[in-house]
Amino acid sequence: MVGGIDPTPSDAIPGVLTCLLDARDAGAEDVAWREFVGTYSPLLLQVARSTATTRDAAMDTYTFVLEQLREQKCRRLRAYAARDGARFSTWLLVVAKRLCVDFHRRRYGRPQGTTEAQPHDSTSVERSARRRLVDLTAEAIDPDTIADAEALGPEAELRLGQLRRALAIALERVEPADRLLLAMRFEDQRSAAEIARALRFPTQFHVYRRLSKLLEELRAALESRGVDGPAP
Amino acid sequence: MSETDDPHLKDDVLAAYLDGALSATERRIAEDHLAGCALCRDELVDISKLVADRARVRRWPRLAGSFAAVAAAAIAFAVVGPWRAARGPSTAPGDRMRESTFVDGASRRAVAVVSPAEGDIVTPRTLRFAWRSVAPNATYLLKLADDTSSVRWKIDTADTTVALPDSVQLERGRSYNWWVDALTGDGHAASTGVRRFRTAP
Repeated sequence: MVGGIDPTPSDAIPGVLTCLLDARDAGAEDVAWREFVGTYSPLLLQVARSTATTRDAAMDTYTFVLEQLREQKCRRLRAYAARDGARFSTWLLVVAKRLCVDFHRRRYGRPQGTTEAQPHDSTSVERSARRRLVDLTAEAIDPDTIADAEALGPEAELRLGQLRRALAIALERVEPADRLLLAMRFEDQRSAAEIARALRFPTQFHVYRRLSKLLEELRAALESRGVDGPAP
Repeated sequence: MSETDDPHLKDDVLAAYLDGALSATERRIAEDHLAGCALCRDELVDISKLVADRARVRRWPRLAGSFAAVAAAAIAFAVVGPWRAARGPSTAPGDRMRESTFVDGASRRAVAVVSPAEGDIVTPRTLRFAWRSVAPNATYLLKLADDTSSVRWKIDTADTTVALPDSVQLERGRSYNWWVDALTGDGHAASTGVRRFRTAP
């Protein structure tokens, strides 16, 4: 993928981080910590606000993030390893965002239906699969008008199973980057703009173009296996 | 999420992916995981938005001070405004709009006033406060105080125009001070400074 969210690697190893991690005594660490907080508070507040619905909740989250970053002699910050072309601020955003999620889980519990073991219920998976089939064949069919497997006769059920297998095989042969693109568009139903930003496409039009080409390839792959439409 | 036994993308891998700093092999592995992991995809989208927002913020004057500066911005909503109102507008309106220092020296943006103009004589029934937006996601706190510094009305809003409600009765021929403090989603604060108008006799 190409593009540029933030191409300037000017903060690969920021001085304030070096000072903090190299502090020789508690006093020096306190001073360095204040400097670090002063430098990165806008970033950390930005992340805290993005996960909270009120100012109070945002400040609680922010406080939790600071505590976690400082605990055990800044254990989390010490885990940072600079990479060519990567920015410390992006890494800190990732760490802070994950800490914010931890905080909300501790305070409010894990949202129902989004556990890691079962991220989607079977109905949503079924609907996604049907939606994908419809999208892949680019036919103007309402997904809800496609009959559920339970309601089909044995022959149609068999045909639906074949469709799914053919689709799964075709998807397995797609490059990971393209599978990711398909997943974001058709499973997560992300907008082209969101996809462009996350996958570093220059514009959303590049997303559409790539999707169009991919669907064409998948359609051809399905047709070569005797699948010529979404209907079972 | 960042422990070693975690099956999801590690902090540095996700960050480097967002920065386009992974090797081809690493990127392929990351994308393979992302294609099959809805949780990591959600994170990717959320954090890419934060990164993009942050890139936009960098074009603005930075709030380079400590957390105290940000906290002080919030405190200023409740404390500094009335205090300044108590002092009364002692400098020219232009000076107030040029105010640029904020707590410990970090830059502070001004909120430009549209109406009422400084020193205007207004009719309460038609009084409408209006100012320029400082950011798409900014929220504003407008306070109106009389000449004894008693706050007569305040409102929290995301709009940039507010009409005085009928429930707020202003006396004729009296001076009033008002100000708007803005807080953007990225922690920047801004203010109109204290403005003054007078009601028609």
